[in-house]
Amino acid sequence: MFRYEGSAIKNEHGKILSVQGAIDGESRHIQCTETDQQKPHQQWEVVYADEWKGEPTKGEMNEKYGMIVERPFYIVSALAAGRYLDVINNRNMVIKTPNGRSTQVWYFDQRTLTIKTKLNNQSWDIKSAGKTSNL
Amino acid sequence: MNKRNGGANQRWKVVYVDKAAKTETKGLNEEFGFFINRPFYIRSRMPMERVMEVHGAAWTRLNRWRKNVKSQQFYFDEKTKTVRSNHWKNYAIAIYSNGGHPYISATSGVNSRWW
Repeated sequence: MFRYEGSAIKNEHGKILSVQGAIDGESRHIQCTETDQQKPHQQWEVVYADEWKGEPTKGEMNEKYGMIVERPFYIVSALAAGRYLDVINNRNMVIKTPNGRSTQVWYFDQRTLTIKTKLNNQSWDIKSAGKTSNL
Repeated sequence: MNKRNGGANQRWKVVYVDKAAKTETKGLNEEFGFFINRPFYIRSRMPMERVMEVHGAAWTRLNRWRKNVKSQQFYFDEKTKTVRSNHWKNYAIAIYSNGGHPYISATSGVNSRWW
């Protein structure tokens, strides 16, 4: 029998609800483990359906990420010239003088929780799976 | 019939029908931490905030929230003290193979005691 204790869901034998492999991926199996590591893959929120209005849709603010869903925006450097964040060669990010092109327009995508370019709808990513400093 | 051992399996309580407490149908069960019969999502605290979903009245998986999808909703059943699927209402979540397997599944075979 499962109980909701703090942020854990555990049974009377101390087995705890956990995401397989601690990977935040679509359709990952839910399993029970005996060790409570108190890490996010073992932490849950019970959210009652009548209290949760769901995820924000187009034009609504995602409070957690601080951005309005699918509302196009520029990202302006605070350096003196006020250049815009831009994409060159379809993938590399640089700052450039405002030029009105879609390479300088971004939007927040609720489905993937990422910032995407209007150019080709690709998301921001750190090169080499986060092992470099380049975006 | 067995020899007396004093264990819980041999102890009983006679409760007269007119004194028996009714099964609660709403409100918080403080021991288990769930509101009774009130549908809820089990939402992961990992960054994507996916929710637990029952697939085909069997395995449970982590998926993005989808509006009004009842296989992503659960409720606490006071009578059996189990967490049940709001889609397959006679299926409760349990550890597969009576606890012998790590995966959590939905099962209709839950009675008064399970893993």
